[in-house]
Amino acid sequence: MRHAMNSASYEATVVYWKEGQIDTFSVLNHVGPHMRRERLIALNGPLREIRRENGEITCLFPDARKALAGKKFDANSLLLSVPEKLDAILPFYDLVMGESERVADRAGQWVQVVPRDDMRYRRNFLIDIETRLPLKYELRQATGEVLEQMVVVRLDPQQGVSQSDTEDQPPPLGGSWDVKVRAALPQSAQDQSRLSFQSLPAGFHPMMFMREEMGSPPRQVNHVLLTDGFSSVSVYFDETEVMEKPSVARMGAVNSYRRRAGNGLLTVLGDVPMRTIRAVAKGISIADSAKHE
Amino acid sequence: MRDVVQVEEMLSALIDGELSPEETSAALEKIMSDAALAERWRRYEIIRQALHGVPVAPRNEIGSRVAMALQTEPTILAPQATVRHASGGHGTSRIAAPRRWVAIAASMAAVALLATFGVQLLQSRSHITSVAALFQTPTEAATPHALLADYLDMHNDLSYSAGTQGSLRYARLVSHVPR
Repeated sequence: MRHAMNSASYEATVVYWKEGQIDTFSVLNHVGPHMRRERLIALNGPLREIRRENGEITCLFPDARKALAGKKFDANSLLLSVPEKLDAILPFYDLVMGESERVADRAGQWVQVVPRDDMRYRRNFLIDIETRLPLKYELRQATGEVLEQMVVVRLDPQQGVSQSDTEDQPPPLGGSWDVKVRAALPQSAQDQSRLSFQSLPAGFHPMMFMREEMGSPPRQVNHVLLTDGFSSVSVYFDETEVMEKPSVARMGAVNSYRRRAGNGLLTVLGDVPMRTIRAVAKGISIADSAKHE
Repeated sequence: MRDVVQVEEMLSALIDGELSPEETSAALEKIMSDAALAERWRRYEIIRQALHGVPVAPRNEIGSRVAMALQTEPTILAPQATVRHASGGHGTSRIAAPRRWVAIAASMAAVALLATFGVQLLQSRSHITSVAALFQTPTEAATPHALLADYLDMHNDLSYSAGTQGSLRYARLVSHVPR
């Protein structure tokens, strides 16, 4: 499926459900001999568009006069990202072949990625038998509750997508646009060692560290990405913010937990159940700060 | 290259309502004489209307909408012309439109042939002011989404780059967030 999304030219109309809200968008993917252009366009609500040309992705938000730009040296599709190496997740997930189902007038086969404990979500993929492109995607709690869902309502493989379709230029980004280019800040070994983790949930390990700028006025935060190969959790430490009481929040499939840590603010956030977020937060130590709990 | 940049700047300013009445007239004349330019501006206008929730009318409806607007709304291209008051009858007054408004109204009808332009141009200046205000970054409410939006965005970004996330990173980004 990952290979199909990256190598096949296609056009699709997709319905996306999250937190009781339905949105639709169009996906255009054009793959040429030495290039790849992809577009994801919102079809309802404020007009928003994601453009990818080879390794460069631009996110356009005309309603807020904002644009995000940056390079992504990764072959994931704008539509759906899946790990490249599934065998790395097998210690923590089972891959189960499900039933067949017809969606968008196309035959598909369900593949379920079932976690072996309750520290991760279940993900189901309905894969088009002919093209190997995704027809449906579900993110579910252990209870079976659907947290997020995507359904392809129209798929035109190899058709309706020409180079000119993906070459439409966006409105000129004049001086009134807020254009943000995401880039990592310089970091030191001391920055990287500021956060340490103990007793992480099985399979989760630190994978990436970045020092990033966020907010307005901008401030710098340490950002560590933890992953089990499929699910991911981010930990942020912001030395410029404080919080008196811990707080939790749920945004669909994403849960978060925030608490004071030393003289700063710790935020743990990810596409995992709240129990996993709390477990991660419990085992975090901040250098020059006593371990909490 | 310089001409291309100037044209793009002109289109951007025209869409944003930043041109003077004279500059707008000149820009319209240029658009009407260049089919490719007209098409580009039509697309930009569709995007602008979409983001303001204005239904994008099919091309054949534009003419009637322009005609209706000409009858009910003063054109924003009207200069700060002197309005002559003429009395008629007993104690009544009648306001006569400056001659220049008629010429501008005629040019508006011509612009209507270029599809979706007319609806924007015939809106009142006060409406343009409120529309411009929509371009300002909206005040973020103290909701979890607002407070954690930056964190969530960075999380999605980094996990996407790491190739670990089995999810709809960009679908989340483009999905409409209710205000």
